[in-house]
Amino acid sequence: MSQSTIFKFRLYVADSTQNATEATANLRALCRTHFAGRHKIEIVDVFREPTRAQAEGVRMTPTLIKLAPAPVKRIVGTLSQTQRVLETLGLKADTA
Amino acid sequence: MTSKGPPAGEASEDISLLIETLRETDQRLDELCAGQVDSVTDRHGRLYLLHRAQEELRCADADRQAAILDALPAHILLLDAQGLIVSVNHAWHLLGCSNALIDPKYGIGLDYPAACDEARGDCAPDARKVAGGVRAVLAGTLSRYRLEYPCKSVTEPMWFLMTVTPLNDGGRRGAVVMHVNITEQKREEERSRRFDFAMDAVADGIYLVDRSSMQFIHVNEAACKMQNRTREQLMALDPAVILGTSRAELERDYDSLIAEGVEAKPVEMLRRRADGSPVWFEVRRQAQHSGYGWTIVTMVRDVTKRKAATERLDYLAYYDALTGLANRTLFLERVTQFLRSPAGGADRLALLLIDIHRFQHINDSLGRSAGDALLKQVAEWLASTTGGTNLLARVGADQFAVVLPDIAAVGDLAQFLEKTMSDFLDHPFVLNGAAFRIAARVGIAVFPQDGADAEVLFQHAEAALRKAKAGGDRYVFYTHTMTQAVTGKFTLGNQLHRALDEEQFVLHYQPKVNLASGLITGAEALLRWNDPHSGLVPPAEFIPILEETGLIHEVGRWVLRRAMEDFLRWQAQGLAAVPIAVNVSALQLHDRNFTREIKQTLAADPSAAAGLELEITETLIMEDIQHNIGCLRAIRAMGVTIAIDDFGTGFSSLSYLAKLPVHTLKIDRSFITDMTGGPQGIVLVSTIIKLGHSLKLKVVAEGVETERQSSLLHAMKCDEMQGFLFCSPVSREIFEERYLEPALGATAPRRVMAS
Repeated sequence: MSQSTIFKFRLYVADSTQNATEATANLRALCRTHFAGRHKIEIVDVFREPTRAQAEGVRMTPTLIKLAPAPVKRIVGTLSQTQRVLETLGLKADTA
Repeated sequence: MTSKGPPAGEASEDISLLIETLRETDQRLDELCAGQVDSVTDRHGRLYLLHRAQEELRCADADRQAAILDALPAHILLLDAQGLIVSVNHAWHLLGCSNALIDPKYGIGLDYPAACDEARGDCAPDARKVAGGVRAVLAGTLSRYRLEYPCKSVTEPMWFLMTVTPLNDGGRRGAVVMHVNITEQKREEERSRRFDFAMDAVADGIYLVDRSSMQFIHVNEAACKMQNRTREQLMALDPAVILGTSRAELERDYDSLIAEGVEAKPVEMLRRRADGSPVWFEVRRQAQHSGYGWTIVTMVRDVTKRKAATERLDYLAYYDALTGLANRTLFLERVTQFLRSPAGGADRLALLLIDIHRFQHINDSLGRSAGDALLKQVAEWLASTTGGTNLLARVGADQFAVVLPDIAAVGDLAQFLEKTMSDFLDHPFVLNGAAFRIAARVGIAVFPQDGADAEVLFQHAEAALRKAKAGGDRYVFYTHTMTQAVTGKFTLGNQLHRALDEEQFVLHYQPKVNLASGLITGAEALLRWNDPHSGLVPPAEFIPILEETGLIHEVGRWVLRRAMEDFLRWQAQGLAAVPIAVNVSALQLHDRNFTREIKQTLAADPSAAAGLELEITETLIMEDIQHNIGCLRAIRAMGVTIAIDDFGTGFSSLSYLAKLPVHTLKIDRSFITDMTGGPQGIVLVSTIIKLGHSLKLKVVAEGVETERQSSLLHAMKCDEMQGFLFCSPVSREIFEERYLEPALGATAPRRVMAS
């Protein structure tokens, strides 16, 4: 995978609950470690934008959607287990 | 079903069951998700919050609001729709002062507007206004209420800003009451006001410019006045425009100012007012660092008056305020410069000190202003005579100084002095509407013999002046030998002046005799100087001096007057008065006033004209024949007879000779002397006599010394003669005694020769 590939993520959360805060923090840490300088993260509050969540078929929060690179993958939870998250999203972990 | 609701007992059980189910479902779901999921939606997008997350959210929200309120320094009350206090923040409890509006004792449940209404003391009026405001906001008639009010505290006076804003919490209404301590802000405003007041009280214009924006931050009243603009107009202008420079230039200026801190020296600038009059500004600038950057403080002071005063002082240090001439200091500097310059040093230089004779007397009798007027006129006269103010100075109350940087350039110094002093004496100075003749005394020092520098020359000129004043001399040179060496002319000139003043001149008379009758027909008046020291001085020694010095005019007038007096006295004494011939010099004839003077002299008596004959030399008449003919005609019209003197020595044009309004031809003595030398001489005299007669002129022979000459002239029909043969010139007394007889009826004048 090219070093210039941009990873795009969208994270659906419910307000500022503890889970939402944890999921956001975990995602940012993961990106910093593995995709430093080549990622974009969008956080969507389902309370504020319920129609977006519905349109994208998000039924639970927190839900992370990997938009790019293809294919699109999603995972529910606080993203605390990094290796599992990477595998689920179909991303090969760069073993540091 | 027809009934409106289920039976209470059944329903309550069902409801309990359902709630239990829901709770279990929640728990189950939460377990399934390992607690990691907060919300779940159904397929229609309806949102469910898991119980734990919901609780968490609610707590967080309340805590957050409480924390925010408590963190604020403002004192905050939450009121319900009725005005009852439902919440107070931390700051409210900690309030250090108390008044009817904020009292730490006010707790939850208190009716706030009612408490305000009940307030007593100083703040009661404010409190009642607040009660009204709160009620209006709660009623929805006012969207917001605010009031600034002072509050006395134990330690210091305080100011608060109170705001009441409506609160809509779900369907419930209420209000938020907030008191913000604005004491510091008020103090700042007060400071700013005082600052503005102080700035505006200053007479200097003050401009504050922000370095980064290059815009005015503040200008004071004086600055606005100087620029003739309102504060708003001025503030909107570009400082570079006001200063008449470019922005880039000004920025450079300011940056160097920031680097230096304070400008070392104030800068003086000349500007023009709207009416064009000049204004001097003194500008001081300094850079000050404030919280946000650099501020350039420019102070502009109008120093026009100070400048004028300084210039005046400078002027007074070197100039005499009355006459505008240089003073002694500047004069000495100038003389020094003349001495140093190659042109001045190479030649001789004279320093003249002039004292106005009897100035104090003029001041005392005519008044100080007349004295001042005289000084000004003398200054003007000297300036026009010496050719400019550069060489002139007023060095004392009635003393002026003149430097002649190059004596050679003015020609003969003695002549220059005589001429100048005579002109000065003739000049009418007008004081209080009347003309005055003013005399002066002069002391002179000459470079290099009288001193090597300006100071010494000046001192010596002063010494010479003292001597002139003490001795009554018109001018005195510092070096005595110089006074003498300026030839006899100098002293002679002085002496002749005195001779006129002291009546030392006398007239001698030489009779003219009719050749046919032997009777005295007239007399020629001859000027003699009876010097008390050396006796009678021959005319040839002093007449040229009189002409050189211009004294001839005065002496000429005297001669005319005296001759007339003598003639009229002879008549009055009953003597057989004979006409008196007076010699006219070139200077007199050229003087425009000559005919007028004659007229004035003749005005003394109607018979005076018949007693006067003017003798004018042929050469003089022919010099400017056009002018002279006019002049002679005017004189003849007065009844005065005119004789051409020394005829034959000049170059007469015969055509003019015929036109000349003259009566008599006087043959020059040289022809008479030559006559006895041979036939040619006789022919010449005979021709002249015939010429005269043919022009209807009386012919007189001069210088007749021998009997032979007399008889020859008689034979040639010459009308009259004059000479030593009959009589040399004699004093008036002798003339009267010897040649004038009492006029008894037709008694003829005394006969002096045999006819």
